[in-house]
Amino acid sequence: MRTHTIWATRMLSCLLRDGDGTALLGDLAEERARRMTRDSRANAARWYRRELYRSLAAVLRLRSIECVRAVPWGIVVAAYVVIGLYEFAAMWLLSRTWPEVAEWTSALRLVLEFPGIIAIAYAAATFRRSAAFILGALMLCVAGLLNIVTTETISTPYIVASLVVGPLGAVLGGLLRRRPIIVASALALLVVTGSASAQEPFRAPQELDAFAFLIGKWEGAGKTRLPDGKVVEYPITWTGHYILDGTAIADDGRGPAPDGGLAVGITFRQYDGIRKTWIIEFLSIVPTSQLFRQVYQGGGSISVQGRNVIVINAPPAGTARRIRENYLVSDNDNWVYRLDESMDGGTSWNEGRTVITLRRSK
Amino acid sequence: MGTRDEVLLGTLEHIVLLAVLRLGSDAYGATIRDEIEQRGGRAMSFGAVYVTLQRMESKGLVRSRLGEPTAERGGRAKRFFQVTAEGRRAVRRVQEVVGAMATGLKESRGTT
Repeated sequence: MRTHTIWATRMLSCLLRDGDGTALLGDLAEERARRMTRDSRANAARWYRRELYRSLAAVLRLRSIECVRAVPWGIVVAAYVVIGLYEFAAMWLLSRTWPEVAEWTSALRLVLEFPGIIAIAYAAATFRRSAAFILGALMLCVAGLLNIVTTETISTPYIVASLVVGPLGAVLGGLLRRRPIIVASALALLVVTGSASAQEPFRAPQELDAFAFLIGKWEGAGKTRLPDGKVVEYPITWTGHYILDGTAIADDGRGPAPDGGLAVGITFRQYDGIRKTWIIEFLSIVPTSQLFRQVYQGGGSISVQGRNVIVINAPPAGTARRIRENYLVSDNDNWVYRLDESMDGGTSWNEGRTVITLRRSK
Repeated sequence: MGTRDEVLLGTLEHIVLLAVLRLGSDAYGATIRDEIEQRGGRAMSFGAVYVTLQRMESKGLVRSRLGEPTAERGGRAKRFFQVTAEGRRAVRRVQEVVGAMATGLKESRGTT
């Protein structure tokens, strides 16, 4: 018998229940023997092979249909919808409690959602045990597809987390239903060892909280009065996030420059708890690279009035020009940046040379 | 019409069940397939016959037993099938429904 024929007979035996595979192969052998008496051996062998593969194809097709029909689609789809709602709820909660994680492409967000996915899969498995595992397979397919078709820039940790967290959570939820003690013990051990090995994060000075309102993605409209008195209006996006283990904040803004080009700059904000001083530096990247030391030990100041923050920049050497930046925070989702300018060393101020109204990006 | 716990038959199941009924005590894979091919003019693979029979057995429509192994079958046993009372009821019910639905169709044809 040829190798591929042997494999076909083995597959048939696997796909049919005990005894049926043997009976089917017996029927084929019986028919082949009958054909050999009235036809050539070669023709009978050819018929046998053709019939074997026809049977294999039919069994595969019918078994696949049975499998698809047996899937509790209603439960799986309902569980998927619940996971979707849970993700929106988690995003909403995170945007208020931990804004830097509240990003759709954040790997950490996915990891934080892990316990919830386990719970939803566990609930689905109470209706039908297989639902949790099919949910996991479906989540894996969807995550893989989304990673392929997305036009957003996504990090490798996010790709890994999206392929692991959802599907693994669903499978663990299903296993938890089947073997609750074993899986719960394993999960508890994982949490305990994970917590023990996690390093205590460096605690940034509390003063940095004054700029915590910057964290997140912001969209807004800016107005700048040019030296010739003309007012230009432009859209702007502003993004703030913690850097250096949460000890500093970097926020960057981008939008069209008054000359029509692109303006991109980033500000680094840190409070030096030992020297008791702020360090704020602004790096303009486009159109030209320039670094401004706005506040440091030798110049500039910061004052906090309620939720509002006023930054007076260190004066450039040899000029009387002064810049005062006002961050006027109305609530968690809205704030205004107002830049005042003085040409006489801070005696009189031209308020609102630039005003940018910002709203949290959805 | 029908009750909730009534077993519904697919076309393939209906055909295979009728073939098993016709063959009586000699109903096994090869003869069932031949019967369907000769009477119904429908060429079914052995695989399709066995999957259908297995599904009907799980529904309680047929029961099976293994026969003795024979040399012409390469030492493999036959699996004989027999229609259960439930299977007979299912066939009868389908025939009734099909008959009721077909009644009057011939008479009305051509009158419109």
